Amino acid sequence: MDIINARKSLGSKIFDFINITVMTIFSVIMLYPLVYVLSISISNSEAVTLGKVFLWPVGFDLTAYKIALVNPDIWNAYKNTLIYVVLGTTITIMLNTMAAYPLSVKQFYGRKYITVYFTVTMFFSGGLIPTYLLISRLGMIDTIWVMVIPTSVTAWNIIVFRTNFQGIPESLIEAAKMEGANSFRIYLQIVIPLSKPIIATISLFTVVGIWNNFFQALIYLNDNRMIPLQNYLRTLIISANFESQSIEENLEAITLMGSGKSIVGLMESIKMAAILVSLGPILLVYPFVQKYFVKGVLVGAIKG
Amino acid sequence: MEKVLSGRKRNILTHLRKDYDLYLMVLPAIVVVFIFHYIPIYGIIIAFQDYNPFDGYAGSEFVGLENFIDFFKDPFSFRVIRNTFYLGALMIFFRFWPPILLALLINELANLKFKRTVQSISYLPHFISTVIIVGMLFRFVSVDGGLVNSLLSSLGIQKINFTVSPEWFRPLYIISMIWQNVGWGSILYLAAMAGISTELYEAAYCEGANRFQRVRFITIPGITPTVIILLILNMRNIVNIGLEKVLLMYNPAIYETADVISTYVYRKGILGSDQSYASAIGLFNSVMALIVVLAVNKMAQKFSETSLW
Repeated sequence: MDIINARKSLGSKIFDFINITVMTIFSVIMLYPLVYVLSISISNSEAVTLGKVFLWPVGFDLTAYKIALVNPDIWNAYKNTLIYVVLGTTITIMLNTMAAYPLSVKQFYGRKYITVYFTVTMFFSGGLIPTYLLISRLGMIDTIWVMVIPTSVTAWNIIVFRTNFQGIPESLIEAAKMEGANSFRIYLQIVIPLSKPIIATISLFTVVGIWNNFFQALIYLNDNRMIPLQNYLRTLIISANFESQSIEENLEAITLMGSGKSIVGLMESIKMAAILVSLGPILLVYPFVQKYFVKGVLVGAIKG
Repeated sequence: MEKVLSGRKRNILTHLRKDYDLYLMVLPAIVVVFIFHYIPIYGIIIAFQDYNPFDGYAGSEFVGLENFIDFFKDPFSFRVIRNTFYLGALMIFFRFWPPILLALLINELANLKFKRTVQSISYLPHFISTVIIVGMLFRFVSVDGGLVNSLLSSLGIQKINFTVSPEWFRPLYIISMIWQNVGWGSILYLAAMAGISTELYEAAYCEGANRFQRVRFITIPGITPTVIILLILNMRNIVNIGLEKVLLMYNPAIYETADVISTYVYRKGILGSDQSYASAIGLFNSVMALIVVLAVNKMAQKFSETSLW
């Protein structure tokens, strides 16, 4: 490529210039909504109501954060999300790797049938209503378990892990067997340590999946103290009639004080502050873990 | 015959005894899948019943295809089927070409650092939740100082209440989808481009091919297999509209364009109490989806050796 890049024609240089410009604009468009959200959250509420905020904040006002962060509901929702993420990811990784290891052992009798048994779920499912009826009959509504168990085992994860485990040199496993290790020890002490990258990748996808999911909680959790962050955000930023009482009370207090803030604008700032508070962890770790995600997509593609 | 059978039985027992620990390891996953995937498949029978919770699956009256017939008589059935296919087709189209275009442009960037930065930024929206995407979208188009309406009014155009206008649902849905997915969708194309041998480019260069010719005759043919496979696989989405985003975006004022099969099922079966009817609609949708998946898989097989099976 070096020879090609060294001598470029004029047309090629013009193209480079246009392409870099277009890609810069594209990057700005990708980031713009996030900057806009940040600006709204710290702008003067008057300016927000009048639509004066386009890119940079107008004025500087952290009231929205004060209100959003003193609200106990958001912290409770945060706590719930963390519990579901930690528990759900642990269960997902445990169950799927444990199922995948035997399926990667060539001499394991019945591995074909068991693989088909899992794969069937990729093509057939009972659908929303029968699943809902089953879960309510099991008494799992309003329990932690409904958030972490029903979706934990997927054919996709098992297949990805199995394919990966098949790449482990058989000589290692044979040697351990000679030493008298049983299958569970081989799984725990050889297979898992040698598969850290793929486990990290699938864990990350699972974490993001649970962190971002709101539908599971929408249909299976009625108890407001149990709802995760996404469902809290949904009530706050999307449903027109926000039910979050403590925020309303705070707003009233501020109006009563006659601070002259615009309620509509302040409410908008609070919504945007809440978005940023919930996006925070993902934005913070994203630059460091991004390459694992990309790797995960490629692993999946080779399989498919 | 009996000898063979008992021999086989003994065989299975030997395997069970020898590899009991392997069986124990796979067992929990088998149980979870049985309970949460296979039992609901059995539960589909309520689509053929007049289900009521007190009598359960066993006691509810069997009504045959009545629920399905009701669905086709339902004044809304045409609307939800039409909306599902319409939105599905739009999604396939706009998931198809924007990532390819982006990948081609990114691939032409010579500065590696800039290239990586653009890639990283473009993947980011993929990790933002649907709730937040819709929340930001609503903020952008809000009538109270939202960006779009502020621009419109500064141009002297009347404000539009986007979230309650049926004609704006699809554009908003698709535009936000492109924003969220274009970067992530380009990963596989970029990987395919990285796999093209640099010797090909150098040879073409020596033959006097200019840059556009190199893209046209080397890069594009190089990614064509990936393009075809991904296009075929994406076709599955035509009847598989994600329920979440529509559910967050719609309201009764825009059901005309926004209500799809899955949201209709949700309203009938979860918010309402017509579980049998909702299951029948859901089953109708799954059967269509399955037909599409099987057809698509056949096509994929024809185009390449790899297959989903």
